[in-house]
Amino acid sequence: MSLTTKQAQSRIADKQHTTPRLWKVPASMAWWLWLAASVLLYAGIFIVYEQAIRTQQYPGPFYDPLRLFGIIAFGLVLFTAAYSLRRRFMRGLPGKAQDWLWMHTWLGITTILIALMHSNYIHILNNFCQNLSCFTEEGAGFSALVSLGVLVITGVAGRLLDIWQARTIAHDASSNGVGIIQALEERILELEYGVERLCAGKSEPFKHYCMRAIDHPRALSGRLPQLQPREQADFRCACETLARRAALVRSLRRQQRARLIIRAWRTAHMYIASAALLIIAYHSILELLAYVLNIPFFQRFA
Amino acid sequence: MHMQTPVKSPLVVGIEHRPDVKPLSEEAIRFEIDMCIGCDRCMRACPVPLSASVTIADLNRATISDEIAPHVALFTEECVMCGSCVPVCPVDNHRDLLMLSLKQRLGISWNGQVDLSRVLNYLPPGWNVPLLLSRLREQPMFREPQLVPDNYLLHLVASSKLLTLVPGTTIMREGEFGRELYMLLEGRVELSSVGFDGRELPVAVLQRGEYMGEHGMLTGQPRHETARARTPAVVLEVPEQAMQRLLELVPALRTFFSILDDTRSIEAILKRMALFSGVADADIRAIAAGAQVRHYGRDERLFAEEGHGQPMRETLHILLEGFVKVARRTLAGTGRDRSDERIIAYRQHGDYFAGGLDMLGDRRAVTVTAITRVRVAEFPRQALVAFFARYPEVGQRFQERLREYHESARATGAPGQPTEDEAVALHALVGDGVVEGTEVLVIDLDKCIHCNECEEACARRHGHSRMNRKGMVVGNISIATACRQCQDPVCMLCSRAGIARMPGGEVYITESCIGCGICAERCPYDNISIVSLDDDTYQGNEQGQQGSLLARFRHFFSEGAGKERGRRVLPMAGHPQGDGPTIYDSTARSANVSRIVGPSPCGWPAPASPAAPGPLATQRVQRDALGEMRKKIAIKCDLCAGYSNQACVQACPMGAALRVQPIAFFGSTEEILRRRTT
Repeated sequence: MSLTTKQAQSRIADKQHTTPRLWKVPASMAWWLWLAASVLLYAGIFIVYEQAIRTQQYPGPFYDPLRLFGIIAFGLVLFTAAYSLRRRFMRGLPGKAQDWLWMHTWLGITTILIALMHSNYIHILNNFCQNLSCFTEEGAGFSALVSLGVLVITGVAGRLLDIWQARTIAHDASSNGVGIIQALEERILELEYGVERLCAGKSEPFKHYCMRAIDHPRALSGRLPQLQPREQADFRCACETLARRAALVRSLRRQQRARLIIRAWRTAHMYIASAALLIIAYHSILELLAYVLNIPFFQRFA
Repeated sequence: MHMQTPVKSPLVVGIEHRPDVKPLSEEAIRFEIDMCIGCDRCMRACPVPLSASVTIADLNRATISDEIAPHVALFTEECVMCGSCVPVCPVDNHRDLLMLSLKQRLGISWNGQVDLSRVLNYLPPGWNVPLLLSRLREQPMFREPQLVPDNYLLHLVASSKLLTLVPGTTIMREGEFGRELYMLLEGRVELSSVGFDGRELPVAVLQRGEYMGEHGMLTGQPRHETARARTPAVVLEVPEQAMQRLLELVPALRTFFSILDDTRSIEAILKRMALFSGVADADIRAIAAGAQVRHYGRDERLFAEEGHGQPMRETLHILLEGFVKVARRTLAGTGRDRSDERIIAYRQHGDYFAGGLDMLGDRRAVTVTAITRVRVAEFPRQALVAFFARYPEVGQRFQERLREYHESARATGAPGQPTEDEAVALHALVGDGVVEGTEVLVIDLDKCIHCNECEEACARRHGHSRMNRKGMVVGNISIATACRQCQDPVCMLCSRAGIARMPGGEVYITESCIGCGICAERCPYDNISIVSLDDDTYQGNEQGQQGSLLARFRHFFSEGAGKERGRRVLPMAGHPQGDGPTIYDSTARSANVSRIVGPSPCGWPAPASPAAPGPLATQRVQRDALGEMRKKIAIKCDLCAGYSNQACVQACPMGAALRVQPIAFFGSTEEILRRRTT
């Protein structure tokens, strides 16, 4: 009698030989919510903009509703930057960090689109810059627009880079048999200890070859040393270990490079964000003081 | 159920975690004491708080002389035999075995006097100690005084809580975790269970002399029933540690409970199996009682391929607990990890083998090996044949099942053989115990940007990160090194109740923990760490708060403000000396928390905080403050118990970190096998 609890399994006929993606972490609802909010906000403002273009003789950033768009854009910039505060200082605020990141991403993209409408695409689609003075005119308005654009572009590019590099690391971690960087470093160290143990009491060529292969993994393919017969078995074992180590070192470097790219881009984005926020804040506050609060002193600078 | 004749109590208790320990001979003890250079390293390494008040000279003198000073005796009593003192000894002395010899000389504390002063205060009106004892003697396991002496019972009472309940009070809830045993001394208690329609259905009414909660105590599984007082009742709530101590002292009691648990487990499985439908309860009970239950450790074989035809293989095996792998011999070095066996299936709790033959239906033998702790019920062939003669329809169902399997096997070629990728994934998930967990922290590597926010958030909240992103990688998922809250946690064997489980299932470290490391050693997945509580080493994530101004600014800019606000409040596990009320009503259940502890205002364990006594420490002993200060503690993930969210999951900006129930997320082992790689 031969029995089992389970029904027979169906054979998987069409097995794919690509890297398996077996499981998926559920996506956040915030992705859709913030996208929808951004689209609605942009659509609403776009309708008002279209209306203003059609009805006003000289629509521009100093007259409503385009002036109002500027105020909204500035508000959105501050709100978008709140992600950074949430991540660093106000962690008790409701929502997961990823929900805030999606707000940061979608509102950030929307902000530049609204800011473009605020400027009525001056220097972008019309009235192109003739010299560098356009960057300083009107309270550095064009500088603020450009810096906001650069900020958003670096953010979007960084996000795409994150996706790309994260997948690179994921592929490497699932195929190297060990895992991510921390695990790789430990395993490589273990293998090195293993090689050192094999080197103990061996001839100089044996040790030299192993140490050289540890320092320069490519030297593995070099000329093999002449060894005594009693050392041959250990040498084969050492070679296998070194080959395994070399493969792991390559994997480690790939992962480290990917992580470095992610971090470098993120750091660059943070510095760009700081600079851009200063320029945007300068322009926005100056315009607010000069043309919204109508303080004559500031109108000299605007 | 009758118990065996009285068994002589052991010389030492509390060393269940070291079953293979062998005491030193008199000569060896003298030799080791002579070897000792008095460097005191063992005492510095000792996690017992009282070790700060005992010198090595005191200890050596007590070990080889007849005089044992009171503070040494107390220290000996508190020694948990963790072995921390052994590796630090420069002359390779076995201080743990020297302590064992001292413990043997001191004898078992439960043989000594018992301090009942606290219990007397809480006795219901009109009750006294003889009445209490007589009520305890009504319990089936305590009926024979020569087996369980009065003194043991009094110690048991002193370590337990006496609850005086008003009608309607909930004693335990279905689905909640708990390891306390409840003995009904007065009144009646109703047991109920939620039916298929979601309504609570009464299951039984217990009366004086009966007990409940033994399933949770023995298996660590959630409660099966809800218990509510039907009339005014008096219940003795025995903490797991006190019961374990009694089971150590009276092995016949252990046999009593294991037989009870085995029979109930087998009955439950047989009743669930469609093959046994229509069989009378009495017959199910009879066949369950006839089964032989065996325990297998990790990597132990249930039966081997080459043992075909042996009696062991001619039985029906039902897995009561754990996971096994089914393998077949293959060409040398062509199996997984170049072994000479190929794993063809995994089986788990509730699965069964008949005839000991293969899973493919080709009547070839297989090797079945335990990959976790396994408990198996074995039914001899004769008993099964006799059962089939009584119930021919069951025999027919078995034959039908076999026929279906054969047909299925022919139709699909080689059924049940996973593809290589799936086999690796499956082995990792099952073999490395992921499916044993109830809450596993997974990281989707396709999303993770390796920013380490999860670890940093954990460190901010708890003072020390309780997780490590490094872990096993299966497909695109990394199983982070963080406690998985196992269904049956092997780490929970702490005589001080330093590790406990919330009703919701979160296993957490209590204020009784002294960092002896026994739980960490028992955890098969290295998910428990021991940290020193002195100021120099326990600084949490304050690295960035020192150093140059630039470094501090950079840390502030990149990491933000350090600590997290919010107070964590967790209950003490079964501590009998609390000041909480013992009279409960249904609305005051929360008062059951005998002492509320908050490690520190911001949730971090305060450096060198005093250790709370465990449930077995019933005698109030005057000691100096130094003798109460903890040196170390264990740290482990408790799913941020006491907080409204989990720091790691909350902080992940990519949503890559997630707590999942392994079966729901990865699928059952069969689903994983069927899953197509996409």
